[in-house]
Amino acid sequence: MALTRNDLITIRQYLLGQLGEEGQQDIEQRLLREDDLFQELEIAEEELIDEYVDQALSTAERKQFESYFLSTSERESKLEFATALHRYLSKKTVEKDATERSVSPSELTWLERVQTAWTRQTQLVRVALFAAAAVIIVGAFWLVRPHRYAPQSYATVTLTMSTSDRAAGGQATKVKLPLGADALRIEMKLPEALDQAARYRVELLKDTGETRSIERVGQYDESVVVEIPAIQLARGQYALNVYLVKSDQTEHRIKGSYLLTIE
Amino acid sequence: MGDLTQAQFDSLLGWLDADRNAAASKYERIQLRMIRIFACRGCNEAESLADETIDRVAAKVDWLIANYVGDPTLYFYGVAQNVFREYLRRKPRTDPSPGPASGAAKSDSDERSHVCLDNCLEHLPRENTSLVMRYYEGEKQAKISNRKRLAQELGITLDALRIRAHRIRGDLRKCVLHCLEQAPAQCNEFGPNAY
Repeated sequence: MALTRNDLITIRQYLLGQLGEEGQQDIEQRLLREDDLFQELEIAEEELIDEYVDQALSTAERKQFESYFLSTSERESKLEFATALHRYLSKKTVEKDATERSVSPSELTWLERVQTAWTRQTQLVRVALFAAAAVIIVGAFWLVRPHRYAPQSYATVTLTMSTSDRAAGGQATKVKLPLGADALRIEMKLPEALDQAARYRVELLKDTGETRSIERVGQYDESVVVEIPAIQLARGQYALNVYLVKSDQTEHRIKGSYLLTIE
Repeated sequence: MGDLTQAQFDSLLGWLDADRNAAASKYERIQLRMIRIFACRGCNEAESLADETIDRVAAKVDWLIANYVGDPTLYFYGVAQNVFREYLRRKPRTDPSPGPASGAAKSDSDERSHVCLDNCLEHLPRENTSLVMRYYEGEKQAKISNRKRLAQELGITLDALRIRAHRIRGDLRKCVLHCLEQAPAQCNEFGPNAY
């Protein structure tokens, strides 16, 4: 038969001698017949002793414990055992803590140090640390990932090939800064039909001698197209040379240049 | 059991149950529980009073077999009440308790107990040692939380954990008492191989 909360209270009162004669006789008769109740008596007795050792009894219970409960040598013996066990476990806990503290961090691998630090945290701190780590990882990934430049507006110029250079009187197309757009789109008409099987590369030569290779080259109709972000544009005179890159990676420069002046 | 004859004992068992094994089991249960009840009443001679009760019941067993109707345990209980009243009448005034042990004696006793606990815990199955250490770990709220966590880990209810811890503690106490009886008082001569 399952025990009720009342049964547990009655057992505790019985052990502390707090029941009247009728209550005492009633519980004793049940103890003779009910296995669950008898087992509860044994456990409750042990727990009462532990509470006394832990100083967890109320003043009234403590008084009753000392004057009534502890009246047999058997119970005194149980109290001695409980006290010894309590001291032993306290000592073991202190020793365990001291051992953990005394291990020099240098004796631990970084993984052990992290594990030790992790297990010492509360659940709340662990959740917070986990969330912070997730934010840092996502943030770092976002920062290091290759950013694709995606201008929203363009200024477009179409260049035709000049077979003579600037010195020889070639005409340069002019673009004025500020551009008024995110990027300059330069379309270069090819003198020959586009080779669909190949790709194109554009070399940008500045009058100061700087050279820049542009690999991202679009192909449109009979033109190749490059985009230069406005922020990278600097005033000066430029020549753009176009190369045809075949599938075997051999390059062939298309004769002539496209001239551009940025003012 | 005091002056009980074999014939009386056999009759007593027959009254408790027609099956001999079941009867023996009931007899042991009644005897153990009467001892506990006398002890709960603060009696230091609980075993002796339980024997006295059984002797008196056994002396009347033929009459009981012929006339008594009802649960035999209740008859035992009635007799136990009388035995206890007589005990109270003849009981000498309680001697004052010996008082707390001196500091040195207490320290020595602690040390011996700890050596015995070390040894006994070592000889328990590992899972039982771990359960005892964790069951009694912490204080107040921390202890309650530990026990909930432990019950969850073991996949049992708190009540089942309580019973398991009680049984292991019982075994541990028996081992420690035996160890303390076997070991010499001087803890220096007291090693794990002493028992």
